[in-house]
Amino acid sequence: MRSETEVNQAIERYGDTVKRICLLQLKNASDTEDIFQEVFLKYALSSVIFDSQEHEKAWIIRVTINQCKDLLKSFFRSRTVSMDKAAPLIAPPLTEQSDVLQAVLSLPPKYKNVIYLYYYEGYSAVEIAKLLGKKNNTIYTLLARGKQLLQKQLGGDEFAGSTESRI
Amino acid sequence: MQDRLKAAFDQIHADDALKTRTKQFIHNRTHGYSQDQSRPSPRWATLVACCLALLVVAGGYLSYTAPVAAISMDINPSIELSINVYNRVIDVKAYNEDGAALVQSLPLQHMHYADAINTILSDQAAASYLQTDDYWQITIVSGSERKNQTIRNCISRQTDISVKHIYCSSHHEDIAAAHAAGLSCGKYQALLLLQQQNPDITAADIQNLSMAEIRQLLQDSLPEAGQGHNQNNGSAGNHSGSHSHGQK
Repeated sequence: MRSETEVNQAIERYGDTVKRICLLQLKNASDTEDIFQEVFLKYALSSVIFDSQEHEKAWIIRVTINQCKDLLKSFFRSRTVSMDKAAPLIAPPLTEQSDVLQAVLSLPPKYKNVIYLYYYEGYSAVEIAKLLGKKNNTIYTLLARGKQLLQKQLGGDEFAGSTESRI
Repeated sequence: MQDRLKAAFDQIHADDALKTRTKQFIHNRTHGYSQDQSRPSPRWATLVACCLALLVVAGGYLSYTAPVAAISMDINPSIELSINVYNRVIDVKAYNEDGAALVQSLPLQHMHYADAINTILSDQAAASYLQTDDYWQITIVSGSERKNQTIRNCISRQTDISVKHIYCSSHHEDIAAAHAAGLSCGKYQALLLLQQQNPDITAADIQNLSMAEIRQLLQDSLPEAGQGHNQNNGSAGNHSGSHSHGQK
C-alpha cells in the first residue's frame, strides 16, 4: 500500500485529469465523486511500481475509464435514477469554451475519450490504442469521425491535418 | 481548434472540497493507511462462505447418514434398525422373510427409534407373533454403554417393554460381525452364547430359526437345566442386560 503522502500528491497531480474523464463519461456529480474516490483508493492500495510520471498518469487514466465503464454497466445503475440527475455536473458560463465543451460532450461515447486523449492530453493514436486496449486502426477511425462530428458542430477546419501530424 | 479544446477542458478542475473528501475517504477505507490490509476481498469472502456452507451441509449429511447404533428386533420377523446420532432410523434391514414383509409395509425411515419400535409392535403381523410366540428380544448394539442405557431407557419409557428385557452390547464391532454372518445383532448374540457351549454351531444353523427355537437350543445346551442363557451375560464380551420374555 502507498503512503498517505504519495496518495495526496497523486490526488493533487491527477485530480483534474480524473475529473475531466469523469465529466466525459458521467452525467452527475455524485457518480463523479464515487469514481474519483474509487480511482485514488485503487491507487492507494495498488502495489504497481511506475517507471515514470507518464506511466503513472496512463495507469490513472486507464483505471478511471474502466471504473466509469463498470459504473455505467452496473446492474443497479441501469435500473435506477440518481437523486441529483436534474443537477448537471457542470454549469459553465456561456462562453466560447463552454460551446466547445458541450460539443465534445455531445459526441457519441466511443469518440469522447479518444478526442480528449488526443487533443487535450496529447497522446498519439498508437499510445491511445495501447491505453484503451484497441487496435491502432480503430483509434484512427474514431479520431477521424470524431473530428468530423466536431467540425460539423463547431464549424471551421482547424482540426484538418492535425491527426496525421502525431501518430 | 485544438487550443479552443484545451481552453475548454482547462476550465474543469477537481475542487478542493472533492480532494479533501477523497483524502478522508481513503484514510477511512485504509484504516489510517495501516499496513494491516488483511481483510479478505468480497470475492474471497464469498468463496470462503460457500466452502463453509458446503462443509456444514456435507458435515450434516455425513453425520445424519452415519450409523452409531443398531437395534435388532427378533420376534419372528427379524429386523434391524440402524440409528444415527440424532436417534433417527436411517436404515432398516430384514433378516428373514417375515421381516422383509414387515419392513416393506411400514415406513420406518427417519422415524425416532422409539416411534419405529412402537410402529413395528403395533403392526398386525408382528402382534400376531407376539401373541403366539412368548419369546422375542430387542438387542441394542452401540459403541458405548452409556448410549445403550439411554436407548434402553428411552425404549422402555416410550414403549410397553420392560428395561430388564432389553439386551445390550457395547461392542460396536458386533454389528459388522453379525452382518458378516448374515444375522441380526440379536441372533448373533445368541449364536455367541451357543458357541460357548457348542463351538460346532454356525450362523447357518440358526439363521432360519425363530428366537423361541434358538432359546430352546440355548437352554438345551446349558449344562445345568433351567439356568437359562441369562447367566452367560458378559461372557460373550462384556455384554449386559437380559433377553426378554415378552412385554411387561
